This record gives sequence, structure tokens and C-alpha cells, in this order.
Amino acid sequence: MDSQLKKGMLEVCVLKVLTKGESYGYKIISDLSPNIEISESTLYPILKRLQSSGCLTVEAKEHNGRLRKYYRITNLGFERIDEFLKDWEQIDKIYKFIAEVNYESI
Amino acid sequence: MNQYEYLKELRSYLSPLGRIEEDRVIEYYAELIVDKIESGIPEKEVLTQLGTPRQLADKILSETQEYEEPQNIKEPKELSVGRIVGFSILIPFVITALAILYSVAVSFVAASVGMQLGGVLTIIGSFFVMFVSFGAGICQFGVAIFVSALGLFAAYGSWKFILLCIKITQKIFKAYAKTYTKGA
Repeated sequence: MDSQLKKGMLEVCVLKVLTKGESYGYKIISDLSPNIEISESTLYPILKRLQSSGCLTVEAKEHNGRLRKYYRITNLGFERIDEFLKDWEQIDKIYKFIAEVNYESI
Repeated sequence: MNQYEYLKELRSYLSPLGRIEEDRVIEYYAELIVDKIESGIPEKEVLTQLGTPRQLADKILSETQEYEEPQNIKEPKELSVGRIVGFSILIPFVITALAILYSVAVSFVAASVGMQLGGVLTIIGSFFVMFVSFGAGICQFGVAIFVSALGLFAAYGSWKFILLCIKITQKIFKAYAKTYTKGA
């Protein structure tokens, strides 16, 4: 799959996980992994970008005597998910168009 | 290799990211490793899953490169140690070069002062000569004026030359300051 397209979708996947409540790096990967393959090195830049675009906030909290970073979705993050779902209707139309052309050419 | 050694080695490959980002990345992986170990995966297996520090660093650097705006990525500073050593070896030569430059400047100043002083004294002297031989006096007067004018030119030239010397010195000091503070 085109890597930019995949990353764009993974961003929304991460936001979706966060709609169930704040979470941390390892848990986000674990929550996604049954359905979506995401590596640690892929998640890091995604979190960073979502933070800089204001889709999530980060807070370090104590856990077992150490600090762990917790990520929380913002209103902008929720909007981002809605946008993606709206875009998807467009993508679906494009997909159908492309698929149809292929069938006719066979 | 334990997690601390792993992270230390990983950090050593991340200098292209810059210090702040380097810290963030290490924080992220340190947290991840501990969380995995806490969840019951043995430390050794956690580190094996991540790949060697070099492999992980390559992944991190390439992800950063394709994911972020290019201006956020700093140029690698791999040559910094070589730069420090090279610059240090050059110190005696730099000092010698500066000494030559400044001695030239001093001789310029001395020449200009000499010419003007000599010129003025010769002008005064020429009036006395005029009493003896008017022609010789006028001739001496003319030469003296010429010499003092030359002295003025030399003064202007040496002033410009001194400014240039100061500029060069400043640049050299700045280059050294930059090398020793950033490279270290």
C-alpha cells in the first residue's frame, strides 16, 4: 500500500483508539495489533504529528515509580475522524469507478 | 546487552535528529521497553523484537525523513570530532598568520607616521633652505609635501588594513567558538 496513504489512515486509527480513553504507547500498539499492523517506529512519528497538529495532548503521569506518557484525543482529533469518514465516501466512489473500469476492460 | 546498553547505543546513532528530538525518541523507546517487560515479555526478547540498535536507528531516521517536513531534519554532525581535532592542530598556524598580518599592519602605521612626521619637518626645513638657495628650498618643499601626502594615503590604507585584520580575527574566533561549543 502507498506509504503516505497508509500513514494517513494509521493516524486516524490511533485517534480512534484514543476515543476509548487516554492511552500510552505500548497500549495503543496492543489495541491496534489484532486488526492493524503498526510497528513501534511507525507509531512514534504518528503520535508526534498528531500532537503538533493539535489532535491529541500528551501528559506524563507516574506509573510504578516511573513516568509514562499518556495521550488524550482533543476536539480537533474527533473532527479529524469525522473528516476521514466523510472523505471515505469520496474514496469509495473513486474505488467503485476504478473497479468498474477494470471490469469493463477485461 | 540490557535495555540501558541498548538505548545508549541507539542514542549514539540518532545525532542527526538533534539533541531535543534524540531525547524524546529515547524516552519513547525506554518507556516502551519497560512496558513490554512489565507485560511479561522477557527483556532479551523485547530487545530482539526491536532489532539491533543500528537497525532500529535506521528505521527511526528513515521514518523521520519521509514523515516530516524537510526543514525539521538537521544535517548530520558526524564530522564534529574531526573538525575539533583539525581546528586544534591549526591553532599555531592561525596564530602565526595573525601575527604576520598584525606586524604588517604595524609597519603600515609606522610608515605613515614616519612619512608625515618627516614630511612636516622637511617642510619647516625647506624655509631655512630657501634663505640660502630659493630653488633648492622650493624643490625640498615640493618633495616634502609629496611625502606627507603619501603618508596620509598610508594612514588611510593602514586604517582599512587594521579593520580587515580585526574582521578576520573575529571570524576565526567565531569559527573556533562554534566548533568547541556545538561540536563537544
